[in-house]
Amino acid sequence: MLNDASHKEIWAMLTNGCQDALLALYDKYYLGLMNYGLRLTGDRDFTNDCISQILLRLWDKRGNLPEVENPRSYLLTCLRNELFTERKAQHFRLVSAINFNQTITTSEPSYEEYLIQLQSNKTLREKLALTLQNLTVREKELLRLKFFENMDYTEIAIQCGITKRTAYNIIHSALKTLKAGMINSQNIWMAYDIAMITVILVFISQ
Amino acid sequence: MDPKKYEAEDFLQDPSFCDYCLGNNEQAVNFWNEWISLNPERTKVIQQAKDLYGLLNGNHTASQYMYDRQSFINKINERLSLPGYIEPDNLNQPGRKSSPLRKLVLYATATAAAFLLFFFLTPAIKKVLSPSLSVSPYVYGEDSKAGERKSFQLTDGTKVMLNAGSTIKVSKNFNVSTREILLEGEAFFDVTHNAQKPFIIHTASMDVRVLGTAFNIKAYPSDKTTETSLLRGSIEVTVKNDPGKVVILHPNEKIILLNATREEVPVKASQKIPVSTPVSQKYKISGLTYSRMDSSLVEVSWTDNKLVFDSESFEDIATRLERWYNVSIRFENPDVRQYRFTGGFDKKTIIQVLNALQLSRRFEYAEYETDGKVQIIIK
Repeated sequence: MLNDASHKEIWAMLTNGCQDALLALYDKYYLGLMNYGLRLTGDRDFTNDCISQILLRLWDKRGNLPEVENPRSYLLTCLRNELFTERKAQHFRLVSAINFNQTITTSEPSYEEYLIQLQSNKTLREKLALTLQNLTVREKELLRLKFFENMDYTEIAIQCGITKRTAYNIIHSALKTLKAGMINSQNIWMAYDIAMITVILVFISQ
Repeated sequence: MDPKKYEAEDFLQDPSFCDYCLGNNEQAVNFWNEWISLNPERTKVIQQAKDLYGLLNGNHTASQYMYDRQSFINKINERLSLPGYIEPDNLNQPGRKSSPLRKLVLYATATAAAFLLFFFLTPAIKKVLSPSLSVSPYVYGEDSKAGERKSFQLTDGTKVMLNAGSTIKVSKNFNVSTREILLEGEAFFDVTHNAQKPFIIHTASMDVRVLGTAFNIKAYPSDKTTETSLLRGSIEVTVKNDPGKVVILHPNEKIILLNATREEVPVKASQKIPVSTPVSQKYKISGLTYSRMDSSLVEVSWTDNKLVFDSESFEDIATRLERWYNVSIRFENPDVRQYRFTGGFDKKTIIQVLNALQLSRRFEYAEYETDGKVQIIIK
């Protein structure tokens, strides 16, 4: 029900003490926040805990919420701080600060690299790597904003300084290239299934 | 454009479809489930679109999202135990309206799929079954490393928090007629109430049987004792090396059991022992320990990420520090082992803890690193 509200509206509702708004914030920013946390720490439960913490803290402070122009980056900053503080307190209670830093910051891969890393199937990994190479830098950036950060076209248009129509078109052509590169492998599976069924039917009819 | 004419890339450009894939919008989920059941010929294209979406969004699925969302809701409920807050109904996950047509389509596809699956898998199944079946009835659950705590839920909704260096294994038939698990280490349980399916935890020295309740079990194999502390509800404890001995714990009680190799159960002066319970050499029942610092419960302070000890020997504290911080501690001076400390630490590093302990009793320590692990020597 709150899904179509703009972030400003949700923010306002939160300030007024509406608890549904808290959940709506979670739904709206989950993907962007979770992906951010996963890229930094690789730990899903830990990231979800931190996301929960920062949202609950917002709720606690709802009487004094700042007027925020960009809730998305505000939340990302909160999350980053939370991830670092909690990591320090919880998992890596090591003596040297150097070790601690290495576990979070240096291993942050690019969007492209990260997506490739996520595939467990080697063939898929190679196919994806190849396909992504066929996309322009702008196409990859827009794909990231739309599907990885879960921004809507309005946000993307503002962020990139382009019109919504342009954003739509760039994403559209990027998707077509992606489909062409990736769906081939699936067609192979379809053919395999059909072949198996044919073989069995032939076998039965003997 | 009419969705019926959508190709994969068009679905992905439709924000409502993306929401459906992720599962974070109830209206979207309902709409597309309905649409898909009414347009089964587009199933292949829909699947392509879903695959591409998963590829681009970082491999997040709706079920994963639901699980995370439920965790968040649980936290909201814990935090906001004020009158007039959200009733559980308002926090429902986006549901699925099931129309009769959709059910029919589901049944048909399920049967067809099952038939095909059976065809392809029978030879595979035969191969797997013929060598000797694994005897263990438990499948792997979760484990946590030293210095790590882990929270998760079992399939019946029971919440588990694992302390450092612990393992849980779940029985294969979990939640069928009973809910049985194997624990090594320490864990806090908040068990979903189900009188029909008793929840049973097996450790090396004791079995704990629960209906629905919150309690902590500490059963590290290398420790002298095994302890179970009950917060609310009631649990039944069976002592393994005293067969037939069953003890019922009431809220705010704990049982301390001697593990097989030791001679005497250590008892702390601060604990109250109820007069009526039989005191045998093997186990003792006592009240839970409230910390003098902030009257929190010592036994479950780890779940709050607080390190609390109440008149514990340095030796025992060292074992806890090793697990908590994932360090290795050695005593060069045996007398120092018997020092007793009472204290509480919240988000401190190991060095801060050692420095604080030094304020009470005199000792020295040196710290260095080998192979990435921190070693501490206490003299």
